[in-house]
Amino acid sequence: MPGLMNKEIIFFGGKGGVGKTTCSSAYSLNLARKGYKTLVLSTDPAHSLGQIFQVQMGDEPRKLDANLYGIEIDPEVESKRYINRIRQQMQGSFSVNIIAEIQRQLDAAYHSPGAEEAAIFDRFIEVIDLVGKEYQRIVFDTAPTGHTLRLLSLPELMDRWLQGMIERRRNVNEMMRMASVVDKSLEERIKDDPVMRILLDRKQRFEKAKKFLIDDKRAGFVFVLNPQQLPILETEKAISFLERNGIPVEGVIINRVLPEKTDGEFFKKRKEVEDRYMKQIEEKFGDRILYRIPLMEYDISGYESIDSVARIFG
Amino acid sequence: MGKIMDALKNGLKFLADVNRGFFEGARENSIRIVRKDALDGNDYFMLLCFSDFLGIPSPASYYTLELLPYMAKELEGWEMRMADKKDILSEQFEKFNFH
Repeated sequence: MPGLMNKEIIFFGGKGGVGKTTCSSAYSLNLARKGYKTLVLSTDPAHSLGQIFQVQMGDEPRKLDANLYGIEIDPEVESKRYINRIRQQMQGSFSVNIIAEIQRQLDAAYHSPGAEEAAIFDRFIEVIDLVGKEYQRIVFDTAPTGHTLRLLSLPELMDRWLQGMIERRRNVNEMMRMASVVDKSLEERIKDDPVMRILLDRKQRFEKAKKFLIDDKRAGFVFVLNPQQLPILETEKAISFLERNGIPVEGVIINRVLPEKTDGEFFKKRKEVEDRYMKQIEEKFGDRILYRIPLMEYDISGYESIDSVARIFG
Repeated sequence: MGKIMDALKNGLKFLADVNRGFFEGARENSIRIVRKDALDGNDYFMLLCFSDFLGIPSPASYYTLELLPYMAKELEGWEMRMADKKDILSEQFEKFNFH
């Protein structure tokens, strides 16, 4: 699939347990072998990337092979960094009440709804900035479908929210400018408004991420599924969601396909069931099927076994 | 003759002063209304940013935390005003000098 290899950023998505991490690890190892400096990165808060490579991974890139680096995004590390930066900026002359109140808010922020997602997305924006500079290819091992779709719809949601805030702020500043004729203190408040600057900066970053996600020359989504009912249905829904949102979908990888020749009555029957689902996959996804990966007799864990899958992508 | 002219001049000056006073008063009053609207608008802006301080969850709450260092000074007054919104009418009357 030379077209796929040309994409700078590939997301591997799919239902929980279908083999996203297996496929993304093997795919990125293959890219690295082909000479692309590659970063493989997990956005799933319940990471399994490190387990497959059998190494300790974290928020900073860890070398996995000659051309291959890995990151497991840690939302807690990310939000700690963010909140500590705010804490440092807070060392102004505020009243004791305010400081106590804000400490409470900042402490609560770690657990506020959406904080984990927001932290992952912040790191995501940072990382996609590295493509073409630090790395030639970035492969995302994403969280199970629902989580990932929410993550990807974040820029759209936040963009609208920010737009509302920016408009309101602009409006208020304009009124303050007019009223500063009678109240000089207002003039000081709107001069080089740092709040406006931050809001515009945020918006710009969200727009950049949005632009990248829908750029079919640079980014694309690959779904991993198994020849089973639920993964097929979920993949179908997810693809239509992404397409509605303009995010390019490259195709599907069928993972854990039973071999043609099976021993015993049980597997013969199982294979018949599977054939029905394989047919369904052909009907639904047709020429979007990129690879078929057989069920292996061993676990995919450790370099050797990842390599055996990587060869299929080769 | 001079006296009459002086009286006339004084009279005119008085009229001019009254006139100016009247319009400046009106102008100042309208700017006061704008000022009040600006401060109200700012309160609503803060509500967009920090609604979860009042217990209303917001999808943007994580991202607006970084605005805190620049808005903390206004926070205490804002929270008090938000907690005491029962007197909305008199707050609006304040704009129009209906005391």
